[in-house]
Amino acid sequence: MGDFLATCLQAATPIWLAALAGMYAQRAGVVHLGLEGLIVSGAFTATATALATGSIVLALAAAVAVNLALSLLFWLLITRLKANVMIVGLGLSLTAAGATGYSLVVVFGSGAAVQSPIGLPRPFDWLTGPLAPLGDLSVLTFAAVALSWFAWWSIRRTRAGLRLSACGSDPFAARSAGVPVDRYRLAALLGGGFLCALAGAELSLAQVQSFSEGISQGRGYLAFAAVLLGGVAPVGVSLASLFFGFAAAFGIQSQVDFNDVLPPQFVLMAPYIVTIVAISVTALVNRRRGRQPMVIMERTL
Amino acid sequence: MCSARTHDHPHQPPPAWPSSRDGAALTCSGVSVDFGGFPALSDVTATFPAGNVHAVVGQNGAGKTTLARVMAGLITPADGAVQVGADRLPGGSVSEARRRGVELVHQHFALPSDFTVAQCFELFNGDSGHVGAFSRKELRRRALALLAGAGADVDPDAVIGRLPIETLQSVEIARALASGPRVLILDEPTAVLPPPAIHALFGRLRALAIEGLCVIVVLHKMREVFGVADTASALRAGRLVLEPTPIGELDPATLSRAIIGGATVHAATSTREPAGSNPVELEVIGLAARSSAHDASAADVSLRIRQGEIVGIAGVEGNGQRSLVEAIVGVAGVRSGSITLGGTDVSAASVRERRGRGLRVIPFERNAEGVSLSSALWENHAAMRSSRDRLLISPKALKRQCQDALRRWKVSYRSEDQPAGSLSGGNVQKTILAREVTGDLRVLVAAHPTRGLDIAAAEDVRGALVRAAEEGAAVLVVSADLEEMFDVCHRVLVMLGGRVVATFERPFDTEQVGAAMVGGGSG
Amino acid sequence: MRRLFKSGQGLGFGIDAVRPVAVVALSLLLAIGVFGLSGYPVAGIVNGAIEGSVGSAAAWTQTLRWAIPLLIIALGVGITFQAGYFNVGAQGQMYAGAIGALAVGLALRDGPGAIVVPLALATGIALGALWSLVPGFLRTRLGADEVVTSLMMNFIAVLLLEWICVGPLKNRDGSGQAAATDMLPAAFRISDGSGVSPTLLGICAALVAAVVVLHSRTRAGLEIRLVGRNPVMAEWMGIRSSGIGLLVFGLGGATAGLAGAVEVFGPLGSLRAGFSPQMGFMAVIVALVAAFGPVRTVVAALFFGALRAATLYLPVVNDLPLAGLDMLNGMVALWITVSAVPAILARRATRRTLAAEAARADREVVGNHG
Repeated sequence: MGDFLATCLQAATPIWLAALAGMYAQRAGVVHLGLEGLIVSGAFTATATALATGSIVLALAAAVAVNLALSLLFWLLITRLKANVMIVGLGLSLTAAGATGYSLVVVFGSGAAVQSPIGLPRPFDWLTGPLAPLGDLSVLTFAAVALSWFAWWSIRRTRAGLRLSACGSDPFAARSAGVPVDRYRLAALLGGGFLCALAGAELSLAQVQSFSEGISQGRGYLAFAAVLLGGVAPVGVSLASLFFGFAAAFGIQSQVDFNDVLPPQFVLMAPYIVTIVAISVTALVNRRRGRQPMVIMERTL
Repeated sequence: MCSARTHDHPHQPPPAWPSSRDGAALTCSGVSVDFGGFPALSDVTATFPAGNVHAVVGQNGAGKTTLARVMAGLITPADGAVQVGADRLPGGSVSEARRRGVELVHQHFALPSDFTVAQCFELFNGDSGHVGAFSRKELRRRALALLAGAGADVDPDAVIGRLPIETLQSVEIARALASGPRVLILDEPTAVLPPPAIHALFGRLRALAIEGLCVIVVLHKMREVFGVADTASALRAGRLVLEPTPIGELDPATLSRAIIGGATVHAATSTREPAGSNPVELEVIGLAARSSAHDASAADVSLRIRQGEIVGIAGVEGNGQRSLVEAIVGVAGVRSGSITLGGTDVSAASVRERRGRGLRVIPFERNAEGVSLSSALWENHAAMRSSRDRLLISPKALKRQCQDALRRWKVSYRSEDQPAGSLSGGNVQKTILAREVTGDLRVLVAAHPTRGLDIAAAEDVRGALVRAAEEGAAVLVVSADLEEMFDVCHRVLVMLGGRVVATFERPFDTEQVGAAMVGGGSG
Repeated sequence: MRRLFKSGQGLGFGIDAVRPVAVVALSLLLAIGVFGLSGYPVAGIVNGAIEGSVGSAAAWTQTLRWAIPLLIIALGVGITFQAGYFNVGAQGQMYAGAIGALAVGLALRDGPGAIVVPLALATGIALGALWSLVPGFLRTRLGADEVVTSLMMNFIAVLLLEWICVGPLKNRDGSGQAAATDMLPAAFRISDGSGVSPTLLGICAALVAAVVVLHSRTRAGLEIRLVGRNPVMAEWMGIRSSGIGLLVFGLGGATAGLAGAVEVFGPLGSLRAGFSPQMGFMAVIVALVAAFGPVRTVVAALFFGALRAATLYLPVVNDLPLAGLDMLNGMVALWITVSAVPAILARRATRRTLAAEAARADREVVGNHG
């Protein structure tokens, strides 16, 4: 049981961190389909730096630096150059996937997975007894818990958070209040870049300690789904991410338990189907209550 | 460490506002604004002294809102500058303008609809440079203090999107006063208010001016100007044609000449009485409809319009007119009751089917509901769905039809391929008429048909309504302009809170209709 | 509807030929720059690319082989986008179509080709449309966001394909390929392994013609454009935007399904788990570059097909990683929707834009309060 919970948390962590990133962006009025790309770039940069320097701190710092640069590019394109948010987000994901795959070959000579000599610290690996499974969790899982609290506090209890939310829900009102909307969007995207760097590092340096092409397997898109599923609210988004973690852990577990009864592919479909159902039900409930559909897209296409 | 603090309660909310206000004159010098080649304001120079209420008047599209927004830093002028007291405002920065004491109350409000009232106050809290952490208690306390100070009775935890328009305005004014402004600008504050609330608002504005504030109000009704203002200035086509002039030196005729310019006002259109034996073309019985945001839902509305008859719906905006029109057109659902077009019950019919029965509409928001601004004129003209539609179309033939219709309506345009958004407001409205007023028209629903049009265009539109009726159509007009309605309508119904509360026949009495609009009279 | 569409503002691409060409050229230059900086011989790459895409008859065949599915999918994607729906599920719809067509082909493997093949293609089309109508229905009837649902449907299709390949249709000959299905009978194939045949080209031509007619000669095409640009106005005109929505989702899914069926009955002959993984997104890029015009889509699909052919050829001559193509495609997507010149180039224009924006923001708020 404890093992299973630990697996859930492990599986949830990268999605969770990226979903917080997506939530900040969405609150600021930016639909972030680039989460997938930022996770991949974070994962690759962290692994490559860890290999080159042997330092976990430098690995994280490099991943953050690259993601901040990519987030800045994203912001420039959608604000200064008025490109379509969703296309740029998809483009970012595609570019990052291609660029890391390319760099893998150029830097390491082949497209095979590269192992990292070091991994993320596990702050509770000294625990024994029933709490021992906690010892498997990387420091970033605990960071995700703390960051969720921070997200809640910053959104619900600070004026900066209110301003950020106004940028998403009514940009005209935000401008009328003197809020520099674009700058708030930049801040949200940079914060998101940071969080996705952590998500990437968790993916490549926590459990398997290696990077391979396609490592993210769509976790960024799941994180985006978690943002909408959680109603763009800090607590809801965290719960949605934990649910995805649970579903993934259950998928792994069920492969062991009843492989012959149900093909693993169908178990792995569960989180996607549940997301579709949950998003539809939310939309239906909102419609019944006479609210506008929960479509938070500012479409300029 | 805390010795510098004099307060016992470190988080005590600031006083609602200082008892005597520190106003400042606002000066525009050579302000020009250009919207993509179209001059919205040209070379506006004026000084608005403190301690006065200044009315800025002009027709729709004269540049009033643009001027208010330039003053508030929301729009960067292409040329010229705004000065508050001795401070020159850096153009296009709302936060700088607010720091120097300029607050703007928007006509349609700038409050995020998913925020609570208390959160809105905090959003507009000008103490910048801080993260601004707060607790819910503090937020509530501050909001209560500000609301009480502004005399507004609102729950601080109420969600903006669910508040009625009047309450929204008091919230918006309270938040504007929260920062202790020197200049308060209100953009058409009376457009959404019933007469008693207008009265109360004017009392507040006078009091604020006496306290020393510089109050600038954008208005468009003559009576209101003379009821509240110390000075009046007029804009016409982006130019200041009347500098702020003490109201004592003006009379309504001078002022309206300044607003209208050389255009002559046509005599009222008279409409022939329809024969009482004409068959009923549109009949609504006991209709209850769903409502949209900021509008009451129509409840138990009944009305009958005969062929050749024009019926007006008067009422303060948001009292169910939109809900009624949407139900008749078929874009919103009907809860109960029935709608009959030409003797056929269409309560459950689609928009397309109703249009097939000769229903035509001039919608509320022409740019959102009437045309697609980025689509070509011919596409807009061909947009209407009807039962005669065939699967295949010939763009060439459609363009020719469009050309004929637009020429008939004297729309000035270059080519049928031009996007509708490149036309002026009046021309856009005429393209809508050209599409809707066709030979098979039987019921015409016109919502605010002349809103925002210049006098000549408005006259054309009114003429079209009258002609449609004379040719046998039943016409329903929803308008905020009583004079216009009295001009063209045979009967006027007044809606209040979603219900028809009074019916008036010719000759109309403005006082009585006005009283019914606010629940004070009987019909 | 306020956030979904700014009033009156829809698919307002500046439809000019300059921008897509410039964007593609810029991305190509950047990619070649990256290749050069990481030690590959630039001249060799350029030569190799030309050789591999248009340098010989075989190269042209390769180019066409990749242009065909891209074209088929992009035509459908263009229609959905034009109606304002952001359906990014073409990948899943293609898989669904491929699975359906293959299942029919294998089930009736002893049947006459003249009946089985059209039946299989029709099944592919129908399954693709169904796969697309799931997000379409949820979007138009319930208001569920189609981006999330169509992405989720992609993931589900990937898993379904994987299951098909290791489960019910697994190739039992044990030819070493872990996750692949049985081969279709050679008589059913509508092209050889090269992926180009008169039948395939005929299908493409017919489809392009159909889309041209839809665009410029049908009431539906007109309504699709109106709904995409202003769904509220369309509603008031009596056009049911939910009906148009279902139509375009169906059409988009049908073409993607057809592409899947064509892949399996054409060049592939059998299915592997996760084949052509980026096809769906690439088709989105093709549609965007072509700004949804059917004839322009042909040009764009040929170009991206040539790129694909070149990138598949390049590793052979100088070890250039295949992922370089994804990087290039991604970069095109990054720039393709850019609609403003940088402020440095047009400082004068900015002020105007800001003012116009403020005016538009006002309309938005007006629309909100109705």
